[in-house]
Amino acid sequence: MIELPDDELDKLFRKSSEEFDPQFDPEDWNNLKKRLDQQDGRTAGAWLRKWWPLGVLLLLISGGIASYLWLSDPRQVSEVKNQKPVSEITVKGLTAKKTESVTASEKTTVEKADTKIDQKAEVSSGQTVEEEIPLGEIRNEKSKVAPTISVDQNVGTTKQIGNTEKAISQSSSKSDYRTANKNGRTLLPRSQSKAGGVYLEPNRSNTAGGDGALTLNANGNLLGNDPNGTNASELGARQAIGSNGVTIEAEVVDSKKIDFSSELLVNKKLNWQNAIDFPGVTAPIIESKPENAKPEEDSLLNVPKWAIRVGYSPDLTTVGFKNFTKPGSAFSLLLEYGITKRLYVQTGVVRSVKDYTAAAGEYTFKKYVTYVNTPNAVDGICTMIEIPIGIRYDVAQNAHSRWFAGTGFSSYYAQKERYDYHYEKYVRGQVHSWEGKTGWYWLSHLNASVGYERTITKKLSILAEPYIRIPIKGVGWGKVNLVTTGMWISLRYTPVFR
Amino acid sequence: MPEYNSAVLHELLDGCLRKNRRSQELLYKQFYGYAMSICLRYTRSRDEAKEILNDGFLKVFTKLDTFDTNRAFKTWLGRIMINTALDHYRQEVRRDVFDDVEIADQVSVDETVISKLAHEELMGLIQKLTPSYRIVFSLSVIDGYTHEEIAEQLSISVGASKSNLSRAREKLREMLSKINIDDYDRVTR
Repeated sequence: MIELPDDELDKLFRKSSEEFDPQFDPEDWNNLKKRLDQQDGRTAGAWLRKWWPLGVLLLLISGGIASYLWLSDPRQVSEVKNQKPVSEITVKGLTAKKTESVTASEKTTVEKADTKIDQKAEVSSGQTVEEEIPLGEIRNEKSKVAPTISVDQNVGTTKQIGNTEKAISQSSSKSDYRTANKNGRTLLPRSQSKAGGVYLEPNRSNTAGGDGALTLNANGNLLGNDPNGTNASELGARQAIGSNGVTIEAEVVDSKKIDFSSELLVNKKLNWQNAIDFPGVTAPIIESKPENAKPEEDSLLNVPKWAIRVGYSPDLTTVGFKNFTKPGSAFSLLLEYGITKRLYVQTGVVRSVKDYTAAAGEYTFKKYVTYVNTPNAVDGICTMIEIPIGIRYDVAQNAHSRWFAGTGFSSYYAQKERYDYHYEKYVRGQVHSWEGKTGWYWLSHLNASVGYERTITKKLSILAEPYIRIPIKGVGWGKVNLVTTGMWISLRYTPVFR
Repeated sequence: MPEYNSAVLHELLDGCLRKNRRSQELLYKQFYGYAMSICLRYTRSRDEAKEILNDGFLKVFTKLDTFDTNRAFKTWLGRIMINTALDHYRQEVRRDVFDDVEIADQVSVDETVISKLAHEELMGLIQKLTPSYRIVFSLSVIDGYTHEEIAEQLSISVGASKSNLSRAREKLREMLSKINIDDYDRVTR
């Protein structure tokens, strides 16, 4: 063994240490660069980790606005309605049926006074074919054949009066609908007018004191247009009588191809002036309100007043939107009370664990901490009880979903706090950490959130609600301005009572 | 800005504060040897030292705004490296990773290498000490910590610190005795 005094040995190693200069390894820098990129959010993963709450928030907001605009656009609604195949004409019980390849001796019937017209025809093969004509087809063919209908009440047959240039006015947009209403015309109920917006002139039955338009005529002479003397009655838009009046071809038009553009129809209206008097038969007028004119009061009555929410959220707490650490957890139990159909008051309790890092300047140190040495950073982990109070407003409400926004204030109770102090340079006697609790911080944070609610059952719904807690004043032992973000995933239960 | 922080270093630090990658790379390269020599003294392998080195530089780059420019950057960097190494050591102790057997006894110095004995080999001898000996020796002999400070940093008694230092020296002497005395003389000259 070498007999080397301590000081000589120390000198040997101290000298070696000072003069030792390891070679630079570029791979080491590359490894550090990757970590720096992650730290600065320059990689996709880091970017996502850093900004995902904001991304979710923006998605929800933009999605909510888009769906709200889409659902509230009358054209979109109109188009959706128009895409539904209209398999029958129903003008308050007026149902027209089409016959293909009918003979001139076709029979038509009128079913009672509800003006529902069935047209039965014998096919040349002897079979009777009944097919309902879409209303839209008739409308679309208005330039070809006028759909003026005459029904012989006595013999129970309908006849085509002629190819008079009469058009059925229609209106499928809300604007036309409103215009019609303003003109004092009676609007057809949408439930019976599947294309919506068709209006009728008032009851003009001669027997009812009107001018006789759209009435059944008992006069058989009027039905003599058919050279064969048959009572061939057609809903003119679909059928054309040949020169011999025997064969009638019907053109079937796909109702989906029908253009219901309100611009094209703006000048169209029902014209009954040339209608032939058929006393006794009138298109009944139904007093009804448009379906979108539901009384607000009724809707409000259907909205339960109380609701309970339980939720979980990752708790991303930071000081000054930097140095996000791993997310903590938050659990909530909230109570909601509906003031109006859309406005709720909320309160409850939230328990959260907040894990964060603060720089020295963001933390208020007690004197005894800085007496020996001043920390340059603090790691905090705090268990907090939060009492939020606020309002929620439903921006858009649909049958099974809602978009909402909320705001309010939160008070915090610091239940358990632990702070670890980090120093740039070690000084003997420096304080390493502090543990304890500092109690209540009333109305310390401003809350804001947006969310989406989707019903699962009649009483249960699920919510996604990104939120942010903005500090009004510092909390905890270091009076730190904590910013908390996260996204509530909640179940909302609506009891029966209202 | 004191003289020991040169204008070039000042520019580099400014760039690092702006998170300029090029400045960070230059600073890293400039102090790589110094920082790595510290890390090697506190670890048992170069891989472990690299890990601590990069952890330390990450702290440097992220907390550079807290650096007092009236002080020497090299000293600040050295402290960060030592603290990072000590944090690493504490974590390992907590996880009971160290098998604190005296591996120094198992060390066999290759006789063919003895002639090439240099600073790197001497650092290698420190690395071959057990963790508790190595840390105490480095803190006390090379980095100038007192036994009281070491005791507080490592949560051990002052007596244990002194004892560890004494045993560390003994182990180093044993290892050195296996090395050709001529080479030893060459190194010490």
